[in-house]
Amino acid sequence: MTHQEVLEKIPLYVAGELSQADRAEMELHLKNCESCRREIEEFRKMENMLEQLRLPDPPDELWEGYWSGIYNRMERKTGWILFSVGAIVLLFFGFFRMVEEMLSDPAVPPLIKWGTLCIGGGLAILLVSVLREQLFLRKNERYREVRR
Amino acid sequence: MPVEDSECIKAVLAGEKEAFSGIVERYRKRAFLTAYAIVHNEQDAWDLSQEAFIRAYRNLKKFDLKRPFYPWFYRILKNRCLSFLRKRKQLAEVSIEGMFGLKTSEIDHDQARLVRECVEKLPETAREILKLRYYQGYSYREIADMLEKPMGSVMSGLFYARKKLKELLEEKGL
Repeated sequence: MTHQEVLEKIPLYVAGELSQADRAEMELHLKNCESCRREIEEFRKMENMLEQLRLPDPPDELWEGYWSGIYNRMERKTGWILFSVGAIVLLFFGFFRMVEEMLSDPAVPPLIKWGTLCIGGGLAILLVSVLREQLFLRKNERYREVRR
Repeated sequence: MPVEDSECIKAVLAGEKEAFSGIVERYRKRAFLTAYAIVHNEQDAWDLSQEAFIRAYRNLKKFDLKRPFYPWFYRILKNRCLSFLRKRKQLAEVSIEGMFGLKTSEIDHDQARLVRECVEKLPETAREILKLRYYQGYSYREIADMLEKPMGSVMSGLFYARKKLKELLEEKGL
């Protein structure tokens, strides 16, 4: 075991997580290495300091409503998706029919027709732009991967 | 993977939404504390851990049943928390004062607060390993499994983290 390997294995040694063979090898090294013995002392000191950082166990009351919260959010998300898709389809259909009727109606002044067409065109461009941005973000998000 | 995890997941995939509660019950404490160690806020940790479970549920089809569930879920949770912090662009105070209604004197004090501040200054990987070890008390083997890294790389990461932490603590006079 090299000196560096011994240094890296000190935490395992102190925690009693070393295999028997490694432990024996480490103890052999420690017998002859003053600097590693000092490192172990230092390690124990810091270990005591770091042990104070342990987070307290959450009380049982914390879990009241935890699962139902997850379940409800799962259900609601599906509801929102369906609702949004339906609303978008209806809005587009309604708008399309309205524009169609307006364009074929000779009583509507051309300026109104042009204005409505501009609004429709603008909305379509905005929608495409937002969708493209979302797809791009999704594709390039640093933390999107959920699987190795 | 314990048999129960794969059984729960298979049941969920077969359409039994409720079976997912078995997974949630088993891992909610770990999930909550992991989120808390990253975002330092009880309410956010609660929300983010729940969101991570929802994401896991939605992506369950992509999960490889031959692998352990928690490392996969841990990655989802960590990514969700980091993404949340990126959006918020600031970290809540690193004290655990007020956590579960406890008073500072009962769980935290000046020295612990300073050490926590120093831990936050460590590079991400070093910080992650230290937090899993000392905030949540995982064994080194559990950390290696959770991060899906060889034990050697966890140990050298920890060695580096402690070295860096020691320097930071010395700067603070500890």
